[in-house]
Amino acid sequence: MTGYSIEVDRSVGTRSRFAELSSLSPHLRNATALLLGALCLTVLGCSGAGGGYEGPPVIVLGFDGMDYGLTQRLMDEGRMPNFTRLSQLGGFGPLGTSVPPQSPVAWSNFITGQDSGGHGIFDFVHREADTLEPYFSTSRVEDPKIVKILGWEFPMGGGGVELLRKGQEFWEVLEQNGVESHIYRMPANYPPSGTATRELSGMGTPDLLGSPGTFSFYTSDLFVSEGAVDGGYVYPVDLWDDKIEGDLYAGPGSRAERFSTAFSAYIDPASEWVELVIEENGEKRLLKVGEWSDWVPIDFELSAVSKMRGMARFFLKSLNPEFELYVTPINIDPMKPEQPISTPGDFAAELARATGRFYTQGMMEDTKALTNDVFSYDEFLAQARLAGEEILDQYEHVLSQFEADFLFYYFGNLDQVSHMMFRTLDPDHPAYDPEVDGPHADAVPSIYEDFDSIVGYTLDNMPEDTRLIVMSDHGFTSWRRTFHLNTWLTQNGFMTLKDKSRAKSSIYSNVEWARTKAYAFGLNGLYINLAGREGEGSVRPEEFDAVVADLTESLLAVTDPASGLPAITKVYRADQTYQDREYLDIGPDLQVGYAKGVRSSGKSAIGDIQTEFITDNTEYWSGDHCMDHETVPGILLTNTQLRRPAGDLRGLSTSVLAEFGIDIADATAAGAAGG
Amino acid sequence: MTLLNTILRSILDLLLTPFEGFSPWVGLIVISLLSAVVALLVYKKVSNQDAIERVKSRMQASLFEIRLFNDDLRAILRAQGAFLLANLRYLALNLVPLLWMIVPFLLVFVHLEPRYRNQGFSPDTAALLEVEVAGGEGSSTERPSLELDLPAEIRSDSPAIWLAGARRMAWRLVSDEPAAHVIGVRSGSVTHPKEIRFNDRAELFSAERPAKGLLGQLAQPAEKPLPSDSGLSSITVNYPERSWGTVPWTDIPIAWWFWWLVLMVVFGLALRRPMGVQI
Repeated sequence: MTGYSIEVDRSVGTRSRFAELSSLSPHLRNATALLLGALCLTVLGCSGAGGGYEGPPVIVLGFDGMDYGLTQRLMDEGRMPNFTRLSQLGGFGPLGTSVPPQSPVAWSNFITGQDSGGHGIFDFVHREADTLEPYFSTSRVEDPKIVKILGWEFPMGGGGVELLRKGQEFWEVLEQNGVESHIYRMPANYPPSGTATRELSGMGTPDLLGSPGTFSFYTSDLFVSEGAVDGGYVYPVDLWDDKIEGDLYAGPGSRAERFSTAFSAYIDPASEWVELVIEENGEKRLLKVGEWSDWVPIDFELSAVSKMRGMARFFLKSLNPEFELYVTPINIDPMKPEQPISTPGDFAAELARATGRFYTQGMMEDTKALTNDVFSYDEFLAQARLAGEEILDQYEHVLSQFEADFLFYYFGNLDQVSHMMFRTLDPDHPAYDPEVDGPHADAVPSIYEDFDSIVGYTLDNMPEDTRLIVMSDHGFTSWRRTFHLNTWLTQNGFMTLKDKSRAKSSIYSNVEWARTKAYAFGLNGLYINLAGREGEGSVRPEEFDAVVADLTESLLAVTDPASGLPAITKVYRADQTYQDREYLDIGPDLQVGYAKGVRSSGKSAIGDIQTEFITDNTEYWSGDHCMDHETVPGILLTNTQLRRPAGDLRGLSTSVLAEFGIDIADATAAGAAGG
Repeated sequence: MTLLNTILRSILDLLLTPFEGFSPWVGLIVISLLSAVVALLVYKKVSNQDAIERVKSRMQASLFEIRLFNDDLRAILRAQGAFLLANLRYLALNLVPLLWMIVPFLLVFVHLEPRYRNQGFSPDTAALLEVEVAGGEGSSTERPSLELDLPAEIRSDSPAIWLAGARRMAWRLVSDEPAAHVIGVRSGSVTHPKEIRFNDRAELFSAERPAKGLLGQLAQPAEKPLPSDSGLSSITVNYPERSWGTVPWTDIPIAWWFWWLVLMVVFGLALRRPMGVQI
C-alpha cells in the first residue's frame, strides 16, 4: 500500500503556463499548443509524470528536537526575533509528533504521511521475533562483497545496504508531479530513496564500522585498559622516543576481522604539537593540544587491488601528563563513498568539492565520548559546534545554489546537544551540579538562537515568493526519572526469572520464557510473549486481549514512589492506535507513554533487569522526548498560511503537497488540521 | 645535471605556460601531441626506414602465404618461421630509435611528473612544510636553528615543530589568497628558497627540493638542489595528488603517465602517414 492517492489541483503551478498560452495569437497558440501537447505526450508516455512546476518554491527547515514550550519562552524573551517575525507573517504553533515520539518514527511519519503501521518504523531498534536479536529499524547493511578465486578470498569493497522504511516518500509524489525536490539529511532515509532529484542521507547513515558512530581513543595512561566502551573503543599506546604508533579500524565484524591501517604521531614536547602520519596514504597533519584536524582521508587496504576509503578528524586532547588522542568515527568519505549516501551517486562528491569534506555519519555529535568521560562538557560542545558549522556552511551554499522547487534541509545539532545538556536548564534534575551545569545554562538556548539566525538568513536569501516552513519532529523535556520496564514486569508477575536470587541480569539472560507474559524491548515498546510469533511464546492468542487489558490497567496505576505522581500517562495499543496496519506485525503490541520527566532506561530497552523499577537519572544524557507523545510536541512555523493546515507530522507532509496543488484524496490526511 | 634540469624546465615552462589556466588535460594532450611529433621525427631520423619497410613487407607476405596455402602444412610452417624471423628483425630495427629516445623521454617524464602528479593547495587548506635535517642514525637530535622567511600572503599558524625521532622540522602554512610564492628556510646566515603554490592551476608543483646528488636531482628535478654544506637533506611540501581516474572495477589509481603514453601512441599512429614515417 502506498501512502498517497493524489489529485492535482491544476490551478496551482500549471495555471501560469495556460495563462501565457492564452495571450498568444491564434495561429501561434495552435502551433504552441500542438508542440506542448506533443511534448506532454512524450513526457507522460515515458514517465507518467505531469509537466514542470512553475509556482513559488517551498523550503522546509527541519530542526530536530526543537521544543514548542521552550521556543515560545525564548520568543517571549525576545531571543528569537526571526521566529517572531516569521510567526507574524504566517503562523506558529505546536506540531503533534509520532507514537512513540522517537526521531526515526517521527521523521518516517513526515516522509510517508503514514504512521508506524504504514512505514514499519516503530523504534530505533527492532527485534527478530524468534531470537530477540536486535537490529537497526531503518536500514540493514549487507556483508562486504568477496570474490573467491582458487580458495582465496578477495574483499572487493563494502557490501550493499537496504532501506527498511516502507511507504512512499512525499517527494516522490512531488517529482511525479513535476516538482524538482532536493532533500538534505532527511532522517530514516539511508540509503537514499532515489526518488528525489537530489538527496543526501542523514540520520541512520553508519560509519565505516557499520555502527551509528564508534569513536577511538588512544591514551598512554597505564591505568586504562584496552576495550570497547559504549559507542567507542579505547586503545592504550606506548610513548617511545617521542612517538606513538596505533591502528585505525574499518569494516564490520570483530576487531580481528576488521581492516586496519597504521598511523604514527611524532611529538614535539617543547611546543606541545604533534605530527600525525597515516602510513597507508601518507596523509600528514600538524596538531597542537586542544586542536581539531580537518577531515583526513584514510585508506584501508582490502587486497592488492582494492582499498576502502574513509575519513576522520583527530582531536589532540592532551600531551601531558598523558598522551590522549580522540579520533572521530571513521566516516564514509563523500569524495569516494563506500556506501550510497546521495542521489545521484556522485552528488555527495560534488557537494564536498564545493564545500569541503563533511560529516556523513547520521548522528554527528559525539554524545558517547561525553558519557564515557573522553570529552568534557566544553570539548563536547566544541565538537558539536564543529559539526553544526559544517552543516550551516553547507546550507548557505545549498541555498545560494537553490533553483529547484522544493528544498528540505535538516539540522540535528539541537537534538543531540539537548540530550546531553538539558539538565543545565533544570536545577531540579537529580544530577544537576551547580558548579558544572550552572556555567552551561545557556548551551541549549544559544542553539535556539543559532537556529533563529538560520531562519533570518533564509528569509533574507531565499528566492522571492518562497513559502518557508520551519518544523521539528518532537519537543524536549528534562529526563529526571528512569523507568526499568522489564524490572517492573518481573515485580508484577508479567515476567518470570529463572534464578530469582540473581538481582540483576542482562539481555533477557535470566528470563523463564514459558512463564513470561510480556517483555519490554525498545524505548517505548512492550511485546506480548505470544505463542506462534515469539520464539518461546507462552500467551495463547485467545488470551492476548486479557493480558493486554491487565497490563494496561496495571501500568496506568503505577506511581513514582518519590513523587506520588503517575509514572505512565498513556498506554497505546498498536492495533487501536495506528491507522495504517500493513506492517503492524513488525512492531510492539503496546507503546508505553511515560509521564513527562520519566523515560525508559536504555539497558531495559535491550532486556536488562535491575533491582528497582524506577530510579533517578544520573547520566549526562539528561534531556529526552521518548515519553507520552502528547507531552513533547514539536513546532510548526510558516511565513504564509498553509493551504492545508497541519496538526501533526503526517498532516504536514500532505500540507507540503498541498502547497504544490497536490491534493491527498485518501484517509492518510487524517493528521491534517489537528487530526 | 643542474644545468640540464634548468634548460628542460625552461623549455617545458615555455610550452605549457599558455595552458596553465585550463584543465590539466589540455596541457597533457598538448605535451602528448608534441611528444608524439618529436618521437616520430627522431624515429624517422635514426631508424633504417627502408629496412623497416622491407621487413614489414616480409611480414605481410608471410601472412598472405599462410592464407593462400592453408592446405599445405609445410608452407604454413615455413611462412610462420619467416614471420617470426621478420618480427625479430623488426624489433631489432626498433631498438636503435628506442635507445636514442629512452634517456631524453625519461628526463621529460621526471620533469612532467611534478606538473601532473600533484595539485596545488586550495587557499582554505593548510600546507605542511617539512625540512629534513642531514645526519644518520645516532646523530644529534638537538633542535636545529631554522627559521622561515615568508611573503606577506603566506603565514605559518604553527611554531617550528621539531620531530626529533624523524629528524624533521615542520611548519603549517596557510594562505588566504590563491598564489604562487617562494618562501625561504633560513639556516644561520643562509636562506634556502622553496616554491609553494596555493592554487589549482595546471602548474609545476615541485614537492621537494632535494640534497645535491645525482639521484635526488633525477627524482626531483624541478628545483635546484640544496647546497652540500646546508646541513639539510630536503625541503618538502605535501602537495595532494591529482586524480586521473581508477582502473575499472578496482581502486587502483591510474597515473597521469598512463594517459601520456596512450595519447602519444594515438597521436603517433595518426601522424605517421602525414609525416611520412614508417613505423
